[in-house]
Amino acid sequence: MTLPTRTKRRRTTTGPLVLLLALPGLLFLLLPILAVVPMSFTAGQVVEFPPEEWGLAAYRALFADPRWGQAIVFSLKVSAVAVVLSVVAAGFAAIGLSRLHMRGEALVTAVILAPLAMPVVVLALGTFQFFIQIQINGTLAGIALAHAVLGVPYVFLTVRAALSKLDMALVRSAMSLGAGTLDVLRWVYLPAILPALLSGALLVFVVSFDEVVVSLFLSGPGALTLPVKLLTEVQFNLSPTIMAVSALLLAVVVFAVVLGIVMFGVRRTVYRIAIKE
Amino acid sequence: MADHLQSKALVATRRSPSSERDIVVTGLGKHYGAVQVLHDVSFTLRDGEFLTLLGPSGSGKTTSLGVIAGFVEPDQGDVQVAGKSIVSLPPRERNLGIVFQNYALFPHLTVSENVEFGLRMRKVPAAQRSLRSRRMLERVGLAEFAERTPAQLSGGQQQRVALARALIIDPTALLLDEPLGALDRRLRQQVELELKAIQRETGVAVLHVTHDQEEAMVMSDRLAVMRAGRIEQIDTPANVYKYPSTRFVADFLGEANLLDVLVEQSDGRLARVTYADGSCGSVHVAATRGAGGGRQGTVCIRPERLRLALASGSLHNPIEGTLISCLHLGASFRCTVKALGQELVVTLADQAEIVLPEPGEQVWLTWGALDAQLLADES
Repeated sequence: MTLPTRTKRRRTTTGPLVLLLALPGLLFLLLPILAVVPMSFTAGQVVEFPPEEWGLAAYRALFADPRWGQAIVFSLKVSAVAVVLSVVAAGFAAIGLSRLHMRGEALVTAVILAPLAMPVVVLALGTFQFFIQIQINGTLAGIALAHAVLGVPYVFLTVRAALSKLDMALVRSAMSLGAGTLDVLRWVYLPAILPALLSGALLVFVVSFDEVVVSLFLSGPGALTLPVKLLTEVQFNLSPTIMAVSALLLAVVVFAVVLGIVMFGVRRTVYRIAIKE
Repeated sequence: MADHLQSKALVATRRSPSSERDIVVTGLGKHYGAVQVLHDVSFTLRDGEFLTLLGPSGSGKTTSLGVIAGFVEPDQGDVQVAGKSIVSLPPRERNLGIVFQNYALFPHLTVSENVEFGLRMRKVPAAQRSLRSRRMLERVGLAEFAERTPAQLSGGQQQRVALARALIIDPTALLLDEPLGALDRRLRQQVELELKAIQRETGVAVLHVTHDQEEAMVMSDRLAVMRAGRIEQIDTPANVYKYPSTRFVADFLGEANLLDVLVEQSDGRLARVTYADGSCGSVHVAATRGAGGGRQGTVCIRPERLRLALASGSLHNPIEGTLISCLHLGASFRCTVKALGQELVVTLADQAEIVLPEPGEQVWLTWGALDAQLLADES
């Protein structure tokens, strides 16, 4: 409990100066993104900043067109499945690796973390080829599976960090009191890694929900995620509706980050988003 | 000799008539890579007894406990309860209560949920669980802390929760892995007595692992001194202190003056030895040494067993020495005397009439046959 006070003190001494230096950079990066919000509230048909006339026409058009709604629902489904798959797979992988002490541990870890380092286009192309072979290209399952692969390293890393702090004497004392393998998972491992699983899940959701490269390769008729739909619309039909979609996406991400801060505190959330980028 | 007989009688009365709950350990061997951590370790943890494995780190005491608990698989040897080998059983089927050094309480569960854990694993109904955990918490004096989490308790309280959690499953024996190591000295002395009281009350057999000799002396019915994977000596604390069998035991448990002697003759109980200055005397012989004379040996004399005199007058077989220093330690004096070509330590109880010699003065040392112990040869 002494750690937070110490970090707080450090922040107050260097904080103002850092903020002053970082502010121009922050504005430069943030303003173009934030400009999307006023641009979506135009009454006209043209994308402009600032809008000549304000209105909700873009949002009306967005909700009138069922294809946007479908894309949003599809994206949510994909992300939800990807979250579940990657949390389960990475959770078990991290626990298994921490307990086995096996010879090829470093190699297995490298394979699990590979999606972080691999060029996404290459990953997307390989997955695309493979999914055509096994005939799941252009399906929800296919895209979700590929997103899960992208998400596994995040969950794996957060869970592994939590496990490194787990006292093995807890496992031993549970076993000595009569706990079997499942009981040990339920009563020792799960409580210890639950926060890591939740924050990992949040990360995977953010990664999956705005993923565009893999989704573009694997998309098909009826299997179009929101970012892919957005990209194709931008190419062929740049309208205020796109700004409205962007503003909504922005709202979702802000919501996720705020949720993260409420659940896990500012420092850890910022840190996790930073390692993601 | 009376000590031997008395202590055996004491332990015998505490034992239940059947030895169904005795844990018999025979010939344990274990190596990690090239390092042999256990050599032929054998002992019996008798029902109701408090047995301590005492030794420095790396002596194999924790590994021995691990083998009995089922966390370490031995290369050789067997562990039996009621005549049945338990060495291939998983830990959860051994029914042993274990208290770890850092207590290993489940941090997300309340105190009562921690205590109930073993019963939950045994599918005991909730009503009965909470009744028994409340009773157990009352026994360790923590009834009002039942709904707290472990993090809200002090070290001593956590330790008692760990004890309650281990006792509630009615274990064949309680295994304590340096459970007092994390407590400060004053608290430790209090907990030693509490632990001993609870053990006496419940009658459960305890196997305790520690490197703290004082802890071992205070709590144990018997103690086994371990060194480099072997048991050097196993006996009551008093006997191990009074009649150490090896140089290591003599040094590890308390302070010892070690004298090189020539053994003239020995019947295995008493021996006649010649000291460095040519004087002769009788000494007690370590049980593991055996009879026979005509070879070198080492005699151990505790500092409080040496008697110091200013004149040789009526003394029997006195040894001459020169006083080097005398320190006042409160309850006693600790004097260093140069005699027999080495420095010997003598402790004297502080008394009103005591007359201490000055450094450089000539003094005389004497001791009786039962004050000196001829040690076994080094292996």
